[in-house]
Amino acid sequence: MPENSTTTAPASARGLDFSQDLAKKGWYHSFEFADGTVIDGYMPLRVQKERYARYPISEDLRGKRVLDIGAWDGWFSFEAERHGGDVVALDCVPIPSFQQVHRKLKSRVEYRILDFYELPYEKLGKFDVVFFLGVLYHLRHPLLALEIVCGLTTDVAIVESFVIDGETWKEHEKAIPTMEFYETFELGNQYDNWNGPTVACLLAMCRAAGFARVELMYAGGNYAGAACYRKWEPVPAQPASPPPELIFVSNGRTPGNCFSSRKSEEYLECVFRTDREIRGEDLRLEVSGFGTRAIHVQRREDGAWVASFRLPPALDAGWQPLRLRFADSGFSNELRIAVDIPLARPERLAVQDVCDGKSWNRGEVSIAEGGFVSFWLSGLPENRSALDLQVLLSDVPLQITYIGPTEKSGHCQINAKVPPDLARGAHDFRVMCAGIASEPQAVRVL
Amino acid sequence: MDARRRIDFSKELAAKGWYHSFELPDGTFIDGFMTVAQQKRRYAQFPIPDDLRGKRLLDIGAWDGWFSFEAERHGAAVTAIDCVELPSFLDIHARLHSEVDYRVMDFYELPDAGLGKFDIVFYLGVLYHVRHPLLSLEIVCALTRDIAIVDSFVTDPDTWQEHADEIPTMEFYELDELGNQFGNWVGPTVQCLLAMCRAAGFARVELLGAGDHHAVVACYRKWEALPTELASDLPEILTIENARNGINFSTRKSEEYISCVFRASRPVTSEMLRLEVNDGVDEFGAAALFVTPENDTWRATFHLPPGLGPGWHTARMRFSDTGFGREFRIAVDVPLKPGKIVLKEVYDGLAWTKGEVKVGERGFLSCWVAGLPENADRANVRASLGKQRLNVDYVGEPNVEGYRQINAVIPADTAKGDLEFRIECAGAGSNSLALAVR
Repeated sequence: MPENSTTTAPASARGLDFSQDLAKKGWYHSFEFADGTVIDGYMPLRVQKERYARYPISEDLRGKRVLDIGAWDGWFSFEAERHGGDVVALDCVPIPSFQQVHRKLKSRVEYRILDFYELPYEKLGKFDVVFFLGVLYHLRHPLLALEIVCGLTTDVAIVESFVIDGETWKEHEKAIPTMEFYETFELGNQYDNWNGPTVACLLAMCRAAGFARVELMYAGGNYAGAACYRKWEPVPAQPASPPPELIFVSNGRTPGNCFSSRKSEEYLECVFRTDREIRGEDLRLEVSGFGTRAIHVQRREDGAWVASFRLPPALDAGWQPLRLRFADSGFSNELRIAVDIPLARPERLAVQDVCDGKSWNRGEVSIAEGGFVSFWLSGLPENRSALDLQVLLSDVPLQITYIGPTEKSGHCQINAKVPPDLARGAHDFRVMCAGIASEPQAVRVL
Repeated sequence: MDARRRIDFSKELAAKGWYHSFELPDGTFIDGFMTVAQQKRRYAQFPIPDDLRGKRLLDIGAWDGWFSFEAERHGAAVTAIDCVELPSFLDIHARLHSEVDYRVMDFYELPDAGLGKFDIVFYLGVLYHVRHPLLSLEIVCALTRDIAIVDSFVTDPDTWQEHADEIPTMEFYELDELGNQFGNWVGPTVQCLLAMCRAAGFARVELLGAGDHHAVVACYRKWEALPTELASDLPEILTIENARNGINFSTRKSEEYISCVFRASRPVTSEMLRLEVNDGVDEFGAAALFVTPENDTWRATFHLPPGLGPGWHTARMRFSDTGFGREFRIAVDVPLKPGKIVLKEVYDGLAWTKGEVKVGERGFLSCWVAGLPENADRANVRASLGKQRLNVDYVGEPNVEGYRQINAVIPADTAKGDLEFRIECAGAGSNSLALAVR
């Protein structure tokens, strides 16, 4: 990043320029070595220790992988290593002071130079603990950055950032969260600062990124820190209520049990039964061990509940287990979803019992208000999506609204809407998947 | 918070069934949430030619597709994309016998969809639905050759002028705070929308209008045409290169900056600078982020324009009222291929003594090297004296024999004695030459 010494740039509207203090000290972090040497950086050692002590991570990090994103001089990397962590430290340019301390400590911290957005492609694996300290506001895409951090974390990420209301955030806690956008030098006279969130905005973005639980550790001055957990708190030892019965899960975007980790937004829709009244904050969904929060819940006419959840980020490809509990209950039965599983070509598709979705009369469907067909299909692969399936009435594609689970008979129920402008009379009804078509059968449109 | 919830048109939309209205050639009229008159007024506001024949146009988030079909009616070759397949779009498409290429994809899949670039991009009513607004504008910018029309929900369409000098802000909607709809993520102010369009990499950004909860912005990739009367004092360009160092740029980096060092015979402001990168097809403009005086020269910094393909491109700069100064070449995503590197002679950079250099306040050496890759530069050529790495501060153009001059700084604390000197690039090393350090 080029220096910005004497420029025609406008004065920093937000002040907060510590570059001269930093230049005088030469180091950002302070260090105290076993041989008694002290490096007096911009940040006092006492403050670094206080910060570290606030992180809800275990004293003993042996066997834990730790990622320190934007390590700078590296105090937090070396401190985690001192606690036994197997540490990878990242920065966007090599920092000679980091390398100097690394040599002095004979450290085994793995030091990588990467652009932040290259992280997901670097195959570093996942980390129990991720430090994301003082980096967020330097990034052009803060929510994307948090998604990437979430995807790399298996247990907890520590997110510390510049915030614009560290002292006053409680006064407007109920307002819509906002963030400032810095096009050039508005923050601290540096042009690589991009955004300044409020405390509430920082927490909201951490939640939106996909963490199960987000806790504010502290806020003060220009800074706030959040502990972001990927797992739910442990199941209560003495559950106060029975678990829900999980009936069905579907992709919220399109019927079926297939999910893509490449989509920017994937939602799960879960149908469950319980005797009690439910609010979103009571629900604890777990997918492949990772928690995800309910963003919406409502009761259906038939008494069952339906809740929407964001798909947790960076799931591995394959069949992933999914289960649900309440804050005060144990987990439900398990269902599963297909993540990034390629479609297998069916050998043969057989349709049984095409009927009107309302009257259940076989072999016919009414195009009156909201008319739809229900039928039973066998031969579909276990991972199934409306995107891979065509339901045709005389070659007119129908909109699929429901794809059920495979029943004991080997069939699954499918519902599809019938457009109101379809000609009345006999039509050929067919289903197609991956180039395989079912035998046509006659359906009367009434 | 209630004010944002009230911006909820879902019931009206559900009652109408359609978002766009249509007047079809067969006389059919479809009465959507937005009136045909409103749609026509909006379209008329876009600074695009009436005749779009020969132009490629991309409509991102086409919904029922009125803007796609209207652009097609004006002669454009249109690609329309949406994140889900809308039966209403397909219905109109069939009725109009349209040739609009309709694609269903996630917004962020766009850069890898192999669609090519478009003269005109419509990005209407989508920005506030995406989780990463600035990233989305970078993607839109990279797909645009000429102009993108960005229309978005904004939080202050009627009052933005009252706080135009404040830091731009944007609201973040975690759930359904905006209009009771999930899938709305951000609400920028008018100033924030303009700032993000500029930061995304467009050369020029103009507000076309604001009101009724939204703002419309014209984002240009190219500079305005040269004025007919040109001032004669054009900038004397000394270098145009990567602000980090060297001539190589990586489009994989999230932030790459171009630096231009020049002399001027008049006071300089950022606003008067016009940088341009020519990729062989287009001349993409970049606006200066800031400009700094350095002794008798100026150094201006620009974002690298998005969407450049891999290869050698030319960069040049002018003032708003002059022609362009000297052109420089930059390498974008060009792999650094090692060759057989031959080091010929080393001299003291000041005394010009062969094989012997003096340590001093400003000591440096010059050497001649053949076999370097074409995109060798100060950042990727390494010079070492014994075990010490020297700072390379100049890599010249090849002479007639293919040798390039390289200068490297000799630090004042260098130990004296006879040392081995060598050059390295892309993992390949040169022969060593003995160098007497005195």
